[in-house]
Amino acid sequence: MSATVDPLPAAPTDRPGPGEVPEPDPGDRHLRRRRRERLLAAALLAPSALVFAVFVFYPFARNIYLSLYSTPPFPNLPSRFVGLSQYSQVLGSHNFLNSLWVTALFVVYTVPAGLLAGLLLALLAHQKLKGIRVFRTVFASPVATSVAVASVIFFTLLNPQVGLFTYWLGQQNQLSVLDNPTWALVAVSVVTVWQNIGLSFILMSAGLQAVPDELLEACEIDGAKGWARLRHVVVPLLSPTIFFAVVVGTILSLQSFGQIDLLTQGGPLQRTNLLVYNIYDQVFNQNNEGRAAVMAIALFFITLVLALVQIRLLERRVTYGN
Amino acid sequence: MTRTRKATVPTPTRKRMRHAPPTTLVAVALLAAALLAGCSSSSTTATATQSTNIVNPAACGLSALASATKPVQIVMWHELIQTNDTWLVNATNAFNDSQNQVHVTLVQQPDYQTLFEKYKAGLSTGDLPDVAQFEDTTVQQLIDSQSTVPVQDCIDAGHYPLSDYLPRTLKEYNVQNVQRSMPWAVSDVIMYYDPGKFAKAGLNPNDPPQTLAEVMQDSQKIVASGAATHGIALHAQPYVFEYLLAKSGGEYVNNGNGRISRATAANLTGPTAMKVWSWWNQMVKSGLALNTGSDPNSIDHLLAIGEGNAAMTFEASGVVGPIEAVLGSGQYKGTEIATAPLPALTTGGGVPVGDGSLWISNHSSLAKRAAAWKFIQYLDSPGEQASLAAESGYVPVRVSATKLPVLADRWAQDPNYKTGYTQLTEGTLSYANVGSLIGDYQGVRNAVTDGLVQMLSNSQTPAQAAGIAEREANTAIGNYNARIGSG
Repeated sequence: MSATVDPLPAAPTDRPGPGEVPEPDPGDRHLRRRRRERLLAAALLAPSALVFAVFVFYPFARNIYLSLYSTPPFPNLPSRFVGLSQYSQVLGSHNFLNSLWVTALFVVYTVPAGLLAGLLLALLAHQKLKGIRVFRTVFASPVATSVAVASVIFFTLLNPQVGLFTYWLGQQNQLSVLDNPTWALVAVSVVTVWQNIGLSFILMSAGLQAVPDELLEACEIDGAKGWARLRHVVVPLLSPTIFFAVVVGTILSLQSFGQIDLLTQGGPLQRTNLLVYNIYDQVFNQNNEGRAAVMAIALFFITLVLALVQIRLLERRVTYGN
Repeated sequence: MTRTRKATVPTPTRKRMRHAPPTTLVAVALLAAALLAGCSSSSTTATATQSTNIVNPAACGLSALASATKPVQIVMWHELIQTNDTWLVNATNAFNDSQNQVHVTLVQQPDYQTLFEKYKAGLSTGDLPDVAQFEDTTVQQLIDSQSTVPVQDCIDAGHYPLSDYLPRTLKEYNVQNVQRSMPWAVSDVIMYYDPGKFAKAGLNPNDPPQTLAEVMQDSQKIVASGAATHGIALHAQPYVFEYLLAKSGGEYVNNGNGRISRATAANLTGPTAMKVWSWWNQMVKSGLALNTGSDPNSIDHLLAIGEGNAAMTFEASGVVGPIEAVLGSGQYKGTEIATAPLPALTTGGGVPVGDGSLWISNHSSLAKRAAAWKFIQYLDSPGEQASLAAESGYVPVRVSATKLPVLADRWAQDPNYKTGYTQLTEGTLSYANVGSLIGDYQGVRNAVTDGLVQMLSNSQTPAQAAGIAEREANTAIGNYNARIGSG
């Protein structure tokens, strides 16, 4: 392309004499520089583009492809194209709708509770007292605990034969709470909330540190104390943190897998069969990649819509200082 | 949106690319990836033409082994763990040292499910064993996978005699007169009970209940006497239900338990099944049975005997050793363990075998198939079967193995090891008790678990619970059959 535009590029030492051919178009030089920059940009972007292509775009496309096929239980057998009928079949199935409902309940059980617990602990720890750092460390400690460890600890505590909780509650020799269709999801949620308290506490503490002391002093002078100060000054100033915690908490909640796998495997009666666990179950236990692919796409859109709604709705109510 | 409009302005190609909105880039990438995806899938479709179901003795490869360079290297996947694993390693080393035709490398997998997962993954990657141990519940799936050589090929090619085998152990893995795999490490569900608690309740410890009605009567005496808080601990797991149903003469699925033709529906609301549901419900609701829940990994039903919460339970015969070790240890002082054949609605029934048989892969070369067959014959020989049974509590699949000193002595010393074998010699073979063939076996099991939970913890009546389970099971069976293009 460039060859036809500029057949004789001037040597760097060449200076155009008076009355000679007009100066090379400055726009042309500009174009060349931009082309070079573009090449550089492409070269710099290539590694990440490759990583994205391999780990994001290809799986995503493969997922869409799989969702249109009825996949056999064995990968050596042929898949059958069923098109969008698989979507209507899966999305209308009891199994999927149940998972949606359970996931929604799980988000409702875990996100606000985790947030409130974190805020409460952060307010408690936001005192100028001797040794408060010890408490801050203790409150933040669940963040250093992996889901697997937390699940195993709670699994043991809740065991009807040897568990401490069941002993305290006089539930020994009863059916385990994790085996109880009514309470299993609540039990898993409690474990999750405990797990999330660490992160939530750290976020809220950081938010509180950022509340300017002058404002709080001004409140004091104006006579706003305790609840009023919290309600009208602290919480509005914390709103960016709260907003962030809600978004992160919801996404974490939607992605929960470890505690389900370790505590209930989706049971009893699919009452803890969260969408992510259901997808896993479809692939690894039922070998139904096609079905799982449809659910994965559904999860993608749910997350997308939730993120958009949260950003649109919550951002309006958020105060970013000033 | 504004960005998309900008992109429609006619500009040189490169410029358009540069200003293209991210969504377009994503779309292009997706398209490219979809093409890639399409390519890889078409290659998998191409490999889908595989073995037929017809018996072909030449496919066993006996002559190929004779002419192959020795030793022929083969790989076996198994899921024996701990002491059983040690036993297998020693037996395999002895086999490798005893001859120079075949050399076996063992690959241990943690459990049946993981082994099967890896096997299925291997069907697309080619990383497959030459011989593998699979569970009884996967027989139909392995047939559907078209990835194995029926051992019938080898039996016919080498005129291998089967008369010494315990008939039930062969029949489980024999589908429409084709022996698909060889029984190896098999077991069945039996009753475990504490004779001490029986004596305390005024019952004869040597006369355990033989019917479910007797279990109920004995449980009443056990609870009334305070020998234990419940008569029996029931693990709400489908294998218990399946064994009770089979021994009572009920077929689990239609079409002769899937033996006449592919099963298309479950039989969970039939008269026999309903009696099992009702018995279970009555036992738990009246407090005679302790419901220890449906977690498949739970051993609370066994611990309950040690804790004084039950005097009986049902469990596989293959775990006699560990059960005796735990309950007979100092931790549970005063607990004794005896075993008896499983009670059922009526006496005189039989039970199917469960657990592992050995399969040969059709991805292996002919020589490797024959080598695998040679190793299977070794593992199934009376000597090795007696040794394994004495070590582990698995049921020997060879009748002559029971007469060898290593096993005869073990049984004389601890009769609990013998119960699983005795029970397999009882009852007439029928479709009900030969073992069910179901494509989505796990799907049906999940349905039964759901039914049990609905009934025991969600106050559904046995009829409602059975109805829920049957509908769910039928959906699972139907979906699977549709996916493999049958029905």
